[in-house]
Amino acid sequence: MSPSGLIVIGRKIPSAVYVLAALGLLLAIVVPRFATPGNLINLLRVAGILTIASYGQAIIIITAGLDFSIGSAVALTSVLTVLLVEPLGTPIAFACGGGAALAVGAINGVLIGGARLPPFLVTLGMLIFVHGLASLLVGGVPLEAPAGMGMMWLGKGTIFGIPTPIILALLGFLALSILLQGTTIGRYWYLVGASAHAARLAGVPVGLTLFLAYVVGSAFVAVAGMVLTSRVGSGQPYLFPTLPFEAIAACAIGGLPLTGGAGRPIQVVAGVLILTASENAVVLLNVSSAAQLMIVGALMVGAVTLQHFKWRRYGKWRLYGAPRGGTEARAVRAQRGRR
Amino acid sequence: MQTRSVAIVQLFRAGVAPPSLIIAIILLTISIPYFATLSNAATILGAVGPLAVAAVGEMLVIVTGGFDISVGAVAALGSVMAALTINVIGPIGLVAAPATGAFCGILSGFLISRLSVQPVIATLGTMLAARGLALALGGGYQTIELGEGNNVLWLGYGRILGIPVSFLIVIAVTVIATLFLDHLRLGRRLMMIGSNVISAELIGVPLVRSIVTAYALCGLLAGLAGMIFVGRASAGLPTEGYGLELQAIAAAVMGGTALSGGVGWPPFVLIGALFIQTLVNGLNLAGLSPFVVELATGAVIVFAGLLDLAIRRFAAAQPETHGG
Repeated sequence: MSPSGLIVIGRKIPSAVYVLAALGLLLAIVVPRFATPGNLINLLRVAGILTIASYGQAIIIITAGLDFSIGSAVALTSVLTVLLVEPLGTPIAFACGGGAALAVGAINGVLIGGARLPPFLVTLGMLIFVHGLASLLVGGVPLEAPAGMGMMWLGKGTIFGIPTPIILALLGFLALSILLQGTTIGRYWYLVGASAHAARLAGVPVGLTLFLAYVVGSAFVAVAGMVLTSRVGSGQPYLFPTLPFEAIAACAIGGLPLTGGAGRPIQVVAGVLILTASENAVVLLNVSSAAQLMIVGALMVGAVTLQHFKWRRYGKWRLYGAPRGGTEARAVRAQRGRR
Repeated sequence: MQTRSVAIVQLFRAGVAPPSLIIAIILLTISIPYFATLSNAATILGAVGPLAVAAVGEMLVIVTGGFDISVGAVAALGSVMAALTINVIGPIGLVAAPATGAFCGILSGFLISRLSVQPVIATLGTMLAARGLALALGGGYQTIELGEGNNVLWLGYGRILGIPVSFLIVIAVTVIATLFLDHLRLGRRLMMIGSNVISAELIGVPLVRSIVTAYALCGLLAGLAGMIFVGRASAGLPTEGYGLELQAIAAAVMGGTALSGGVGWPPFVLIGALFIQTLVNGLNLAGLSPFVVELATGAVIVFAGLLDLAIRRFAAAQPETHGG
């Protein structure tokens, strides 16, 4: 990443990919049964869903926001889908489920893009609100899908021998790359994330840009929610409560600065794979679930800290959200020199 | 004229909590028969302890422009550590809870200020580590009962002059935090960092030390919340505190703390916590499902943000605005 943190189409391989390669090699040597085709395919299948959700999170992080509500949005998708299979038929039920996730994104978008509320606050509120809604719809207990619900291929099936979630993750990669690098709105997302003030001065419709970020982000979440629903085959209000944290962690591990304005799809994929591979390895090593939490936490902080060592050479101004490189920092440094 | 507009702005600094609390109390009194009784008021004051203490701690880091999402997990770890220590050295072991919390806070603060990890990642890491450690110490999702003769229930249920002991702790914490932020140099520094980190460093504020202190204090107060858990349950609770951080942040914001940093006053945060606790209590008394309570909490958080925005816009339109 360049000092300004703005170069996106750079040919440089992001450091997270090196970390992933080193980690993969280490795990293959140290952990028995890690590098077997069966385990790797299973790992990728699990990673697929998280990857799709993380694409959505990445768009929002690029605009310098955060989305916690996705943890409940996928739950609402699954609950609504299973409820609607009987009256409406499977395909329409899935469409409605996905639509619910989109609606959550649209509400986030209106509140954050339109009213300019802090993303952190809005999406936390929506996380709790939508979870209450999903629980209320099914009375708080998981609802089994009616027998013969179609669409099972979405979560469990394969296309040309490759599990569907992996195919969807690859398609999502393509879509995200085109969106971020080939479309005006994608460029606007970077601009708004780097500096909303500068973007407005440059004539970017900031509110609309933010609104679209949350809607498009939730489209990825909707797909992830549909795949999850098909995978578990039931409507669960507690479907994937750690999803927002894992998605944010994956983006951070991949090297997306949460201050916005930078990030590439490949980093998201690398981040997800680092996270999933280490979780998988910890399970293979038969560590208790409590220790797993600690290891994942330490790993996440470690991976992010490691990437900061490179950044440190830009000096103390890196500390605590101070300006990264760029004009502002130069101005400050010049001022200090004069003093 | 000028004093009047300053007074208006001071009033706005309170955020939406005080009017919301008054409206909530009026509405609940009208609609629920047993709400407006002295014993129910004491119930609310007794139950608000962990949330209020955690919210004041959360405010201390939010005014520096950061936030801490490890509060719930740190409270759980604090309660587990306190229970383990009490079983060895008696009730004095309660202090292990805030000590553990302060240690977790120092860890987060160090990661954030010295290694420049973003607050959300650093405290997420602390959250996972603290929750994992609490569960591991609890031997897998079990509570740690206190041994015979180690009675700490006075902490959770005792009353002095009719006021719950835990609420007296809340009052003490609020007063100390207010004096700290308004009158101590370190407290002023936290506000300066939140207002403008570059200016703060240019005039010589030691960033690393100040930020580590802010997170250490937040951790300490989260541990204190864990200590109140022990007092109420007479056990260490490794699975307690999920969602405490969300409610604490909500209480802080409703109490007028700006998420962008630099603005906040502990007494209003306490009122924000009281509002959330009153709402939960009222909806429970009305016999509504816990999911409706959840729904209402989420809606209130978003609504608080909207009202906060409206008030800020209005305050900004007034002449002579002082952000706080």
